[in-house]
Amino acid sequence: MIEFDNDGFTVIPLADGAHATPPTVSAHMLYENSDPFILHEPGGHLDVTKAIYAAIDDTRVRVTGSKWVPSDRYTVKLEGARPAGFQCVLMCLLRDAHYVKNAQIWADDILCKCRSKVITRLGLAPEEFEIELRLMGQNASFGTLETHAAHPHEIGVLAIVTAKSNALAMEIGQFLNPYLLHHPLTQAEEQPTFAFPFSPAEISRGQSYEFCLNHVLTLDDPMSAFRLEQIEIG
Amino acid sequence: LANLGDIVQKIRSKNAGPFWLTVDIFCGTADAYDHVIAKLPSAAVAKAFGMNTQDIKRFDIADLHVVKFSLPLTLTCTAPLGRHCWPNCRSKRDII
Repeated sequence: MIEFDNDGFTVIPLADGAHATPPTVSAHMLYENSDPFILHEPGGHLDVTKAIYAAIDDTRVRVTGSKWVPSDRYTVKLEGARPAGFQCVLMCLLRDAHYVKNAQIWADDILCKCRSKVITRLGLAPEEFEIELRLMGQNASFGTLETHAAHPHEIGVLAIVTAKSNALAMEIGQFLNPYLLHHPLTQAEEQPTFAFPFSPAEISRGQSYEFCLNHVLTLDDPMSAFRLEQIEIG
Repeated sequence: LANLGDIVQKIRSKNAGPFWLTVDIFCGTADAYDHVIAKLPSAAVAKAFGMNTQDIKRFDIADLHVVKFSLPLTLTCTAPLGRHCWPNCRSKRDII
């Protein structure tokens, strides 16, 4: 619970055993904000550069010195997302040391060969579909920014197919399936077989979305862009 | 050279809206905070993420013993990655 007055506010936790401290309260401005001192809101911004966080006791925190700075124009943020194709995902596991060591080469080779086959067999343009292979255990979090040379004993391969319809994404997933199951690093070696955790391997993820709109609306009346509907229920 | 994660209490990262990644380094003590301030120049952080120093934001928050870095995301959150990571089919890398 937060109690407000003219000089500041007091944070009072309600759960048994919970306690607010100056670090837990002030850390709130760090979370998900690229600037921990200035927070833009409709009609102005909150400036906590000079805020003071003080413990009243073991559980309560008093905050003073944060300042609301009204803006000349009243603005609201407008964000939007749009459909970004349908996705099919597959997973396989590399456990053979030779393949674990050469996983990136193996994955790159599969992408080249499978993309070519999809373009030829389905008559698609290269930009009409996407295939990603993420090597989990090697660099799936950071991609090219990864600085650690991994020495895992196994690698999870997450394959993500994106196309304009669910049926097409699943069909491309089926083209990818035999590569993930059997693709050899060189023609000289025996055909390998890799582990699939799921059968069938192609999993429909349905429609995906991507961020597409980042805009600031200036409003004469704060409510002019919004509509309130009131429903009486008895 | 010590690892940052061994010196400080906690490091956390989070997207801050669709265009920024923010990293909070909770040093835990004034000593650890001073150590981080002395040993972690913004240029080194920028370099690790393949960016220029002027592209990133840095906040040294002494009261909290926190150093915060905010970095522009090279890809907007939710953007499909595929077309950015297609390999060069002609590249020849040696199989180990």
